[in-house]
Amino acid sequence: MKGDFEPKITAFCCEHSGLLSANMAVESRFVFSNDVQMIRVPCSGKIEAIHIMKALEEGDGVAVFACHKEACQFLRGNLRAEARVSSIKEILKEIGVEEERVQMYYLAPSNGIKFAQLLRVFYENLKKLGPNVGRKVG
Amino acid sequence: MKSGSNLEKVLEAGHFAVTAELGPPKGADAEVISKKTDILKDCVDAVNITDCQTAVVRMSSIAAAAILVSKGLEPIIQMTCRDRNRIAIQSDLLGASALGIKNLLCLTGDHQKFGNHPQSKNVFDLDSIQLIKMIKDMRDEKKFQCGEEIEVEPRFFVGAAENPFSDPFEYRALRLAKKVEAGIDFVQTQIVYNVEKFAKWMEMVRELGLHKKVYILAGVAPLKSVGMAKYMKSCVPGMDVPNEVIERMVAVGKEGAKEEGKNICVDIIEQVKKIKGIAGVHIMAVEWEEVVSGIVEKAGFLPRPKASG
Amino acid sequence: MIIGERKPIQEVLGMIAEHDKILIAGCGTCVAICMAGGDKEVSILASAIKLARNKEEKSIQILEQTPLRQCEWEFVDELKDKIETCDAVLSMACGIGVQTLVERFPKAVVYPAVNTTFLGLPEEQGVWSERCGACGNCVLDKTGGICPIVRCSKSLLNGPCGGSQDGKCEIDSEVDCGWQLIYDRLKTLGKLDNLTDILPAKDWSTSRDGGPRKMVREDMKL
Repeated sequence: MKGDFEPKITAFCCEHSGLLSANMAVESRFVFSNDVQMIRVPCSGKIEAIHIMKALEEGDGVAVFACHKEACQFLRGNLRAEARVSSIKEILKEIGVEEERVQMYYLAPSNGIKFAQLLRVFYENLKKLGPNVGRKVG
Repeated sequence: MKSGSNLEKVLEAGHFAVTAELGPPKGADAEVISKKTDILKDCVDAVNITDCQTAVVRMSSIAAAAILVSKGLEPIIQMTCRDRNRIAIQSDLLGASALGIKNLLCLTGDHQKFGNHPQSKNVFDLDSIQLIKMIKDMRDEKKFQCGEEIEVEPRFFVGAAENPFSDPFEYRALRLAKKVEAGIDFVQTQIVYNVEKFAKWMEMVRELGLHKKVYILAGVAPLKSVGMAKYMKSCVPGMDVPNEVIERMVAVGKEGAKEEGKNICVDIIEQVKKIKGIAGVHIMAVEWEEVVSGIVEKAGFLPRPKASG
Repeated sequence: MIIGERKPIQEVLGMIAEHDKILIAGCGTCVAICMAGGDKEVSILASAIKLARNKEEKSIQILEQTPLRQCEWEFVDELKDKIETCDAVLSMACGIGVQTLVERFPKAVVYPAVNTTFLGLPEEQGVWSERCGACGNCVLDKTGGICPIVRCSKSLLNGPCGGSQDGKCEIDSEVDCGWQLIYDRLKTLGKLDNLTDILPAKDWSTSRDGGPRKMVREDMKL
């Protein structure tokens, strides 16, 4: 059944990098799964741990697209996001859910190809992992 | 005489005292104590029996000391503040005195984190200075710590340890002064490798006139190997091993290490002996007790004085 | 303030294994500030528990509420309705909060989800350290305002032990020697003389050693 499985992905996109790249990817028709919910954030640092957890309750994986390490418009927002993502990974490890279901990616503002590639890799990984067993039943 | 112990008599008579250290076994084997007693007998004036040193469970200091007493070697029991509250300490000391033990060294105690039961609860009801004061009051005022009277008081020759090499350095002599004020009769120092720094500390001790109030025994310990020297330098808090000492150990290679360790020990003894106010040495060779007689002989301390009276 | 730390989730899951509907009750005071049991931590724990229980195909219903304080009757009363509809309460307050719930709602089953660690302060964001042992007999006047009871690993009252080296404690090179701090502080204050006085054996009866403590103030009673 894994072959038919279409993972439900939430992608948090910083509007200074991830979102711009995502738009380019769409415009350039780099195809990716329809089942990606894009959430625009003013900075990856705006994403709280609970947002990621809630997305996991409803889906199979969460990707955070943030600016490159030194390039955050708010200086340390992406580092905060990174710390939160690793705290979520710790929680997932504790409860025995694959930590790969949450990933942090760093992007330049106008890199549609890279965005599509990263999302593709994430999608393929989730396909291999199969459905999130912690996801809400029903 | 405060206790009438051999150590007290030797020091009172003005002899340069020599003490050693004996680590009780990690088991109930009395034979180990007897053997070590035979090794140390006749080459030292008294022997410290450690109290669960580095917080590792071993046979009790007082019980092991009782074996020494029965074999005619004088023990100095050690008492730390780590494992007993004031009730247990006083009770144990009444018992120790009843068993014929006459010397006592008061210590704070290594933290249990270093030992084999790091999850245990520590006590530290008293600190070492309060412990000294309590024991002095038991002996001289015939009073328990609570103020109640003691009918037959325990009579100990009371000592403390002091580490001239730990920090804050400027406070170390003052801390000894507090111990003197609290009521010690003698002090054994941390192992001296850095004689220069030790001499500096002694200068401060003399400025406070402490050498006239208590007997100061310098701690020494023979090194077994370069590894031991390096370990002590970097891993033992409050231990100062100068590079020259390590270089001497390196120079002689593996085969000569033990012999050179002894030589360094004797050299240090000779140097500290010349420092004004030093009344003796305390040779710490735990689990290497057989080396002590050689060091004592080489340093010219044999035969040990027969204390009279 | 009281510092706490969330228990490992597996331990918490073990406590609530038999329950299908629980309330996670946070506390909006100390443990919220130290990010162990405020409303955010409540929602994250709720979410983690849901994921873990779904994984075991044993879904669970979780209510969440975080009163301003879990250690006062009038604040915990807000939880009454929710507690009554749940099988159990998972408290993310300190140990005081847990016991306040137990006393106020004797029929409720209450579990702790937080380990109460110490009384301290946030030295900086994300770093907390102990400052007070609640010994009931403060000596800060004699030690330059630095507590020897909790900042010295051995609670010594008469100066540093022989394990003080380069300002650090023998137990850990990351831990400051409390007595070095006291020494430096008294030196700055020109009060090094304080260190020559012998502090007598401490009366620990005001501390935990004296048994459970209680204070009654007739003037404050209604």
